[in-house]
Amino acid sequence: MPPQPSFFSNESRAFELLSSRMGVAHINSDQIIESAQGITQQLALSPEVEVVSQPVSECFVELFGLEEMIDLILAGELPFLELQEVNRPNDVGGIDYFDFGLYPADKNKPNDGLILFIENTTSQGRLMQNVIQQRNELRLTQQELSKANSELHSLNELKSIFLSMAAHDLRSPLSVITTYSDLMLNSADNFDNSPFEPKYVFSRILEQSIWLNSLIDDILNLNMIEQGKFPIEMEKIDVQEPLKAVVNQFQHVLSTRNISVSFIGSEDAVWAFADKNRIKQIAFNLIGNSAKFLGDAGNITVTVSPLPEQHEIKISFADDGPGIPKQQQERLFQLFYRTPGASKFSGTGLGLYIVKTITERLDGEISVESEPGEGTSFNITLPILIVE
Amino acid sequence: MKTIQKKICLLGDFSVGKSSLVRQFVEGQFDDSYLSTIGVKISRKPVELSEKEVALNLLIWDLAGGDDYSKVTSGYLAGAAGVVMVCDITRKNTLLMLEVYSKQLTKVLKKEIPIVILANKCDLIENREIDDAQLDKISEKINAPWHFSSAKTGEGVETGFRTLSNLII
Repeated sequence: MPPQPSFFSNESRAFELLSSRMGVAHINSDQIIESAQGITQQLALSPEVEVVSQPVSECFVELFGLEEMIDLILAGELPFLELQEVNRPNDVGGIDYFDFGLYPADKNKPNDGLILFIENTTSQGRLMQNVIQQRNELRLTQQELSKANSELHSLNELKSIFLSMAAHDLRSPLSVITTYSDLMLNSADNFDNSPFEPKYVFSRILEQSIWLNSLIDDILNLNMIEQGKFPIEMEKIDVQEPLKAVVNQFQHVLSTRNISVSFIGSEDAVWAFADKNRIKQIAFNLIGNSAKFLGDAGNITVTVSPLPEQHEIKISFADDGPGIPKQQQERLFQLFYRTPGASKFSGTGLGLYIVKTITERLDGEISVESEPGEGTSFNITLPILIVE
Repeated sequence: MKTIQKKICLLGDFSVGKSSLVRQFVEGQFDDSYLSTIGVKISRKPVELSEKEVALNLLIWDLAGGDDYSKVTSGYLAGAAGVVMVCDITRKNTLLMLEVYSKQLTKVLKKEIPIVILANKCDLIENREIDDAQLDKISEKINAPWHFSSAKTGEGVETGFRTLSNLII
């Protein structure tokens, strides 16, 4: 049975309920509001100013700029205009949602005027917001997991490459040591028959033993870094002492190759609060790296410059080797990274990663300066300790 | 000084920080919690362009991001004088979405309007997945200057909106 006309009269309960959730306005062909009911007035830009007789786009911020589209509806060129889930802040700091719609009052005569229909859709809007929120959070988590998975995958690949390189690199020095030891053993009764000078043979054995030792150290250090158990024993030290010790060791080892290793420092002690063994490890890695890439001749210089005004010590490890192209420098300190030019030399891609880790653990920073053909300089800064 | 009102829209993938950028620009505030926008949120901000002797009243339409880009129809974009496109430098696919939004914009408006790209979340530079070269490329492709921004620290926010304001006047 169709509802009686009184059911929708202005005084009816049905009208009261509709008016609390919806707004309707009649817009004439000049886009002026001719009449308004329900929530239309309270949603206006200035609720205290009567919307009737005002241009509709000036009463609702949502309709600003849409005058041309409204004209198209009036001209019958556009069937309607809807804006869904328009957010409006409410009095309690939350958001209410409204749907706005503009429709011809008479489908056959759109130029006669339009109906602006506003509906409070807050309940549905909040449900929808909840669903979208959960969907977006899920997607963000998926993206993070996918990224982590991809990083793990590439790390795993790098580890496989590292294992095969490490096995190869462990074998090479052992092979040299075995060959030279065997040679010396066979010539033990009469060194004069040996094709090599004993000094040369022993220095090669020492060099390869040091390299083997450093490789095993790197592997053990990586393991400790990954487990978060990388010990640092800070104490007051003259940073020049551990550096000089490593320089001396390399001077001795590289004496049979035409490579000079020199130290430039300060006559006075350069104090720092650091770990002397870790400083040695840094020097060992960086000088060892330079020696590897220099081949049979070149110069390595370790320079210590106290910079008390900047509260730091600069330690530079410079060589006149082949240099590193700019585009490869950013990745130098990444775990397992090896430059394309390094592939013909032994190495695991651990050294510079460990050097950077140690430097940061000592509250320092490391950078590289290099140009192809003009050598390389690794610069480390550590906090200086001012001793009164 | 002449007073002009202009509508601008923010477009970009979900969770790139569009609403946070608007909040930082309009209220100078930032909230770390993430609240997805649905539909559209409209804010107003006066911007004085003294060199052009214009007091600009910006109506900023912050549109929902994500798969709903096809819902970004003429009703939302009509009358817009310019667009701020936002990507998140820690999520590379958000840069790809800018091209999608740019195509949607052209399709809906059937004309070109000024665009500024904000490479947001620059405070998280260590997690960066989008580099300058990629931003330069999209910038050239859609003919829009780009700026770094951080809704969290406020860096680049004013610059980004001011750049667009100058382009639309």
